Amino acid sequence: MNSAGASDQIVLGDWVASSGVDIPTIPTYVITNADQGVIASFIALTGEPVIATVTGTSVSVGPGPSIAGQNDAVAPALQAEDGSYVGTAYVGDDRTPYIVAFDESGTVRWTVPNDEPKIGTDDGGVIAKSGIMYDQNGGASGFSVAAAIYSWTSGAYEIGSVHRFPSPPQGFALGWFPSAGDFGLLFASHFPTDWRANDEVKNDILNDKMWAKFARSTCASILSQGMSALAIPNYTLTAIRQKERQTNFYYLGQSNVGALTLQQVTGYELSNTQTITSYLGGANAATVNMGATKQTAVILKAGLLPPLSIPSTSHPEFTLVHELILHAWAAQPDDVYFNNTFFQQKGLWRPDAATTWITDWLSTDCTCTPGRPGTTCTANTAKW
Amino acid sequence: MKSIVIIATALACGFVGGAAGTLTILAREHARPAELVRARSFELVGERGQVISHWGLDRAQNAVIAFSTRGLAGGVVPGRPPLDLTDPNNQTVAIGVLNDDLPFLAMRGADRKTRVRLMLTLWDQPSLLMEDDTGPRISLGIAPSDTPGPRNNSWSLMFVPDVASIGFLANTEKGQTYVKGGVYVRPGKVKYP
Repeated sequence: MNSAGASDQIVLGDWVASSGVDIPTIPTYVITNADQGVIASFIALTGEPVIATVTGTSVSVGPGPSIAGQNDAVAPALQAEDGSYVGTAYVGDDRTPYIVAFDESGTVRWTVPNDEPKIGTDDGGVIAKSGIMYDQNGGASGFSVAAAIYSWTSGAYEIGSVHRFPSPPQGFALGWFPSAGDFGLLFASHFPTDWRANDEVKNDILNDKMWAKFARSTCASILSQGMSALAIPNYTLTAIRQKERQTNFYYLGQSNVGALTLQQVTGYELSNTQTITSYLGGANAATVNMGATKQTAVILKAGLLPPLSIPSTSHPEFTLVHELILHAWAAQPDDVYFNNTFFQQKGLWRPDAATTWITDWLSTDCTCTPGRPGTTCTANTAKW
Repeated sequence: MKSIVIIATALACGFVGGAAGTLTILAREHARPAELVRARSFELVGERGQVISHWGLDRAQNAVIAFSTRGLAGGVVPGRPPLDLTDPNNQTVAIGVLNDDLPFLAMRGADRKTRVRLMLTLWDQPSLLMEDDTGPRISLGIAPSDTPGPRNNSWSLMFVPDVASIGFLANTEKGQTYVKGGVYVRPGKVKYP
């Protein structure tokens, strides 16, 4: 189905079954192929493993990955940064799971028995369900957090616990589809996302606890009234949180993030091929492709996010709320708020061209702008 | 016998003349500079082979002319890799265009952190940043915005963190853009970053 909702039927192959038998079903495993389309892995009626590469509506069919004793086709689970795949095959009568790494032509690179892939790493390797980390050649290269399960927002959880803990500094792949079975990637399976930034923003900073406090704050009330004053409808925290889930955050403190293009981080809704580093320029943060229904990206300068294990002292939550509500969701530039009488009456003040005054105003729970002559309020005092 | 000598002498003279003519033509060709030289990159080296300048693409795919004499002190030491000027962090001075075709000039300190950046934004607006080891201290040119775009027409000289600034703010009212000048000095003191 394309972005306009139109669909195509694509034939992967034709086979003739014996007469008098039911038409057999062919279990087929499909995964995205970067931004090119999908590949489908299945066993043809002739018994050979097959990979069908679908680009647009065209199909090329070739041999699929094959290992001795496999019961079924290799089910690709994630795609590495070099375009190769890692999947699972079940072998023998006892259906022993094997990790199978294979390239786009179906050639098997390596296999590991008794394990399954979970998440790709930026060195071309994989973190397995067991917690063992395998390098790009299938060699065990370390052990991830024991029995950790990486959630769809890539936060790490211990089995049997609801306590989230900072995942170790493993270099997660800037993934097209870097994690197996991740429903969150419905939002981002065809373009690269910054897992670390999404994890830290959505799970650590703008999390349930923060929003629960925000809902009771003066700021929540003022923003609600302010959106009405600006004739921007449907402002609810539910809508804001929905937008947060759909928005991707990119942190320039992470290597190789800054080279991503505006086209990539907006899921190809924009055509600009300039880098997000150039887009950010000298600002602390910048929002690309604003609007509740858009594929929005928020770019964060290096140093804005604290390390996961260290409590924040820099208060990135105020910058993030600024970007998320005022820009990503409401789709208005700062001038609109600065120039609005209602917001001015609520203490928003702009002495110069900087846009960080809004962040400072938010950080006082939307009561006044620190630094304004005649006021004594202090930044970063809001309790949410 | 005499005729054989004459023929041999003529052949020898002809060979010598031809060779002399060819050498003359080649010498003239060498003296004329080539109209086009193509290469992936050029390197300028010091007396002992130390790389002091790189002209070409760097690792960030920026097209640069970059300089650093940091490698001169130790010279070329067997077993020690030479200073790699394709690494942007090793470029003390670099001028060129970024990988998305934005022109820039960058200067780095001994700690390899950027101290001066001069560049155009995506909308061809100039921006000059002066920094210390903790980050930007002075911004001159188009004011940084979190929703950058071609309509961002506010220009300023700003001292970071936001303690002082001078410049003008652009505002659009009923389709007409106006600018308004201003000077701001934050009362009190703020912690140095």
